[in-house]
Order: sequence, then C-alpha cells, then structure tokens
Amino acid sequence: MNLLFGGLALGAVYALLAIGVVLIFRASGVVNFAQGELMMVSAYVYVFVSQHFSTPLLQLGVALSAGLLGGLLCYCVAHILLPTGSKIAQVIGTLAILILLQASARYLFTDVPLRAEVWIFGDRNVDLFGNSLPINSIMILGITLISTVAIFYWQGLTLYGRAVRAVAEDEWRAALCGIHVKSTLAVSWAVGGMLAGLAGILISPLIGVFPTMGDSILLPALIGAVMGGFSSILGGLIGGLALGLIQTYATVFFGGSMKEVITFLIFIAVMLWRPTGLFTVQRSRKV
Amino acid sequence: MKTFRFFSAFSLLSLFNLAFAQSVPGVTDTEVKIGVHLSLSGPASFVGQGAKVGIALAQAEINAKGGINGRKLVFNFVDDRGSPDGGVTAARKLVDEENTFVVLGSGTSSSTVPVLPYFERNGVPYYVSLASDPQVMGKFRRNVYSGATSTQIVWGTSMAKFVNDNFKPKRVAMMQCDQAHCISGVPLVKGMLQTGGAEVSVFTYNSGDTDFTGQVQQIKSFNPDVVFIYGLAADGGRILPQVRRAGINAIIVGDPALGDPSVARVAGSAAENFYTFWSGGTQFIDDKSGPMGQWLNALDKFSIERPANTPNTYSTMLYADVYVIAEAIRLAGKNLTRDAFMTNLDTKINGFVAGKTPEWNFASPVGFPRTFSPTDHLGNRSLQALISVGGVFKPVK
Repeated sequence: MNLLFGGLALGAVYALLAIGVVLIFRASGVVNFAQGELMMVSAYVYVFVSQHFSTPLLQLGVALSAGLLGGLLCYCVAHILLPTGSKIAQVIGTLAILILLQASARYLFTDVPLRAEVWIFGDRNVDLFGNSLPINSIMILGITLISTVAIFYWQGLTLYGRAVRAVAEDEWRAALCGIHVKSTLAVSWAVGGMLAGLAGILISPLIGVFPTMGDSILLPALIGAVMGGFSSILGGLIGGLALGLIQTYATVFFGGSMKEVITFLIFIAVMLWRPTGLFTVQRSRKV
Repeated sequence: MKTFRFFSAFSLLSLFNLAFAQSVPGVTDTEVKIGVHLSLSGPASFVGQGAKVGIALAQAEINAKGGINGRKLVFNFVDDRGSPDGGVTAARKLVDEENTFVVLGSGTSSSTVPVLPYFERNGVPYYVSLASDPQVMGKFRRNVYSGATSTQIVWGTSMAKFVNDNFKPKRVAMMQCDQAHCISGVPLVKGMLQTGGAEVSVFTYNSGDTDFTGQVQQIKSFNPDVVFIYGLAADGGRILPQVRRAGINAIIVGDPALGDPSVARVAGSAAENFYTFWSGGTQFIDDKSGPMGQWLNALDKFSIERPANTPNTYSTMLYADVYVIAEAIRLAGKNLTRDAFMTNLDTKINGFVAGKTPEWNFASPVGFPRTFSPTDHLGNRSLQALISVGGVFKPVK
C-alpha cells in the first residue's frame, strides 16, 4: 500500500506538469519546455514565503502567482517576442527560458537543495487501510484529482473554457466568432504555469528545492503526457499517474539503476501499440 | 662576412631558445601559476564552489605576506563539470595551453580518474585533493599525490570498523548511487561488513533521483539494523527524510560525501543522530571555536567571495592542501623546479599542518596532518566520525 501511494503521489506531480504542458500545447501548439522551471521557481518562492509567513493560503497564493507570472512570461516570449509563424522558434524560446531560469537559480542558490516544509498538514502519517501512510502523499493525489476535475469543468462547462477550446481547435474561426485569441492564449499559458506552481509546492517537501529539480520532473511528465495522448487532459492525468507507478515498481523489481531502462521500454511498447497515445483517437477524414 | 653574421645571429637565437626552453613552466620571478580543475557546474558544483573558497583564502593569506620566496601564487580555474570528458579537457587546457607549474585536482572522482594516464605520460605534478576512487592511488605514479581525501580502501576500512565496533549490526542495507566513488566504495565496505558478521543488501539509485519510494520500501522489508548511504550530499538530504517517513528506525550512516552541513539542513529532524565521516580534521566546519573559528573569521577578514551554501567541508580541505603545496614550493627556494617540488613533497612533508609551523603561523591550523614519502603519496589516512545532533555535526569521541 505504501508503494502504491508513493507511486501515485509521484505520478500525481508528473500529472500536474503533464496537464499544464497539454493545456498549453492544445491552445498554442507549442510544447513548453520551461514548465519544469516554472515549478522550480514556484518552489523557491514557496520556501521563502513559508519562512516568513505561516498562513497556508498566503503560501499557496504567492507560489501559484509565481507560476502564473512564469506562464505569462513564457507566453510573451513565445507569442509576442518571437515570430508567431514559426513553431520551432517558439519552442526554442521556451528552452531559452529553461536555461535562463535554471542558470539564474544556480547562480543565486548553488546546487545545494533548500528544505521545504510540507504544506498545511506537516510531515505526519495517517492510518489508512491498515497502513501508516504519509499524509502528504494522500494530499498530493487528492489535490491533483481536484485540479483535473476543475480543469475539466472550466473547459467543458464555462464560456471562457469553451473559448479556450475553440482557439485550440481553430484560431481563425474562433477569432471570427469574436473570441479574443491573444488573451485566450495567455490564459492557457497562465493556467499551465499555475499548475506548475502547484506541483512545486507539493513536490518540494519530498525532494528539496534545487535548480535542476525541473529537469528531473518534466521529462517523466512529458513521457506521461505522450503516453496518455498529448492532446488529452485525461491522458495527461492517467499517463502521469501510470509513469509514477511504473518507476516505483520498476525500482522494486529491477533495482534503482534499471528504473529508466524499464520506464522507456514500457513507453516504447505503449507507443508501438497506440502511436497516438492511450486516450487519443487517430482522426481520419473522407477524401 | 655575410656568413659570419648569419651564424652569429643563428647562435644568438639558439641561445635565446635554449634559455627559454629551460625556464620552468608556470614559474617567473614574481609568480607561480597553479592550475585547478574543479566542478563549478553540474550536480557536484557544490564541491567545486566550496573548494574555490578555500583556495581563495589560502591564496589571499599567502600573497598578503608577500607570496613564497618573493613569488605570488596565481590560480587558474577551469570547470570540469564533474564529468570525465570535462576533466580531460580541463587538464589539457591547464597543462598544454596555460603552462601551469602544478595542477591541483579539486574535482570529483568522475573527472579525476580519466586524467591520470595523461599526467602519468607528461610527468607534470598532479596533486589530487578530493577524489577518493581507488584508481587514484591504486598505481604508484611519481608525479601524482593525494591530499585531503584518502582512498575508498582506507576509508572503507575505517567506516566498516566503526559500524561493526559501535553497532554490531546483523543486517545492513546499503544504498549505492552511480557516482564513481560509490561504485568503487560499496563493494569494499560490503565485504568488510560481511566479514564482521552482517548480512548486507545493496539497493541502487541514480544520483539526482528525487523519489526513493521503491528503495525505501525494499529496505523496510529487509528490516536492517543499519542503513548505510553512499552518495552525494544532495542525495543524503533527500533520502534521510524518506527513510524516516517510512517508519524505518535503523541507525543511518553516510559516507564522507554526506558529511556536509547541507545534509542536516535539508533533512531537518530526519538527520538527528545521523552518522557520517569527514577527512577535514577533528573539528567540523560548523564548529565556530578554536582553529575553525579562526579560519571562518579569516574569510571575512580577506573578504573572500562566498557563493550560497559556502564555505563547506571542501573549502577547508583545499585550504589545507594549498598550504601543503605552498610549503613544498617554499622549501625549493629561488630555484623552483617541478623535480624539486616533488622531491620536497616526498621527503619534507611529514605531519604538516599549516598554522603549526613558524613559516606559516598566520594560517589557521585546520585539517589532518599530511605525510608523504618517496614510495607513498597518500597524504592523509585519517577519518573523523561525526554525528548530527540538533542540526549540527559533532565529532564522535
């Protein structure tokens, strides 16, 4: 049970990043490689705020704001500073932000991790199903599921969420319908950044806060997103959770040094079986 | 006449070239150039950043007193990124391009071991301060010396003896990362623990991993008396809380790489009663009294630039080793050559600690004594056991 919840907690963090990447990709067609660094920045902000203020909502609000601002920064670079006609240039723009943020953090804080306190509940265990489980793991899983439901509600049942989906499907037709494309895109990036900020608060007490923490979380998150189907939010969730479980159980059965090998073997097998991901149906059209 | 002039010019040019060729690389009338390769970037950057602080302080102190025999010390730093190819590139740059007198190896084992054949071929003095891989001292090389850190064989023996004598474990769970010092050290310590009667199980991980749920649950199932962690300080800071959070109450011991204040800082209460080791002396870096207090004050006095989370344990180790090099240079007098330098290391460095000799009485006497001989270039065999109490490492008596 501890293994299961540990794997799900890890996978939930992957899922948060994966959903953020999928949201941004669906809206703008750009893979945000700086998503992990937005998580890192939010984690640093969370550490410093929690050292001075003990109010959980304030800690959450400031860290989410850092993620939101980071998302808007990425939007500005990708859609305002760089030629919008070239997707490659926009992707490279996000890579530039990745390098900038990571190098800045390394210069300011070096690679020595900072300690982060567990948000709200502290570092305690709770008895569940006859097992003593870290309350933080349960909280991570719960918050991820709630966030995913909130994203579904937003995109499915609110007017603005439908506008975001419309822009994602066809910018030109959405503009014809009176939807302000640029602000809609900015909102998608901002929400993606906030999800990264949320991931930063949740994962930092487990692994510490250090400049390259984004790398170690984003790559599995991207793999999870691809496995789940890169344009599906549900796919991002399931893919992230599955990857967390795969990594945890691969460590147990094959050893820590084989973890990545097993993970990628399973990833390749899934891609061979379902090239478009587990939750994306390949569209065909009549010609 | 023309022929006479031509031969005169040719002779003069030859004499000039001969004189130039016989000058010692890295040595002028006013300075001695010492090359340093270290990890200023990458996962082991805290090692290099800390090392640079210690080197800078020693340099400042020595040069403030006029240098050595009228020559100031100049250090050329090259980032080896903690990688094998980075080490090779850095070493070649320091020797071939920058013509340094001696190279001070302040990198990890990963960046140090690959350059050993290069130094063996070129004969340039190579003073290794931090790498503990057995290959550093496994083969005797005339021009290679090991200062602050010992080899995994020597350390492993000390650590295994400490664990066996103090805890008498029946079951030991070892966590091994993918760093060079872990790959070489774990099998040695495992064998010695098994010789002491313990059942030992090894659980691997990759340095930089952030989640250890799998390994921790396996360790919990194994139910050890002692958990022995081999890795980097950053790994230790993450592993300790995850071990304690899983309800594992075993004694936790870490290899000397985990003997860093950042481990206790990051791990918080999980680091209480955590044992580790360090080869920097009997007084740990966060003890602000005595010689260490003097050393910490010197950093302020000379306004040494300190990146975040420095100084650290590597700062004191490199500080002590720079003085060892300085002493060998001083003993050579004005006729400083590489051969004289190495001969002095071999024959005159016997229990040397800067700050305890008249010539260096302005230095802080931190670090274990260094002793070399013509057949033994392992300068320090001492290891101090530490225990974390209240977030501070204290020596185990």
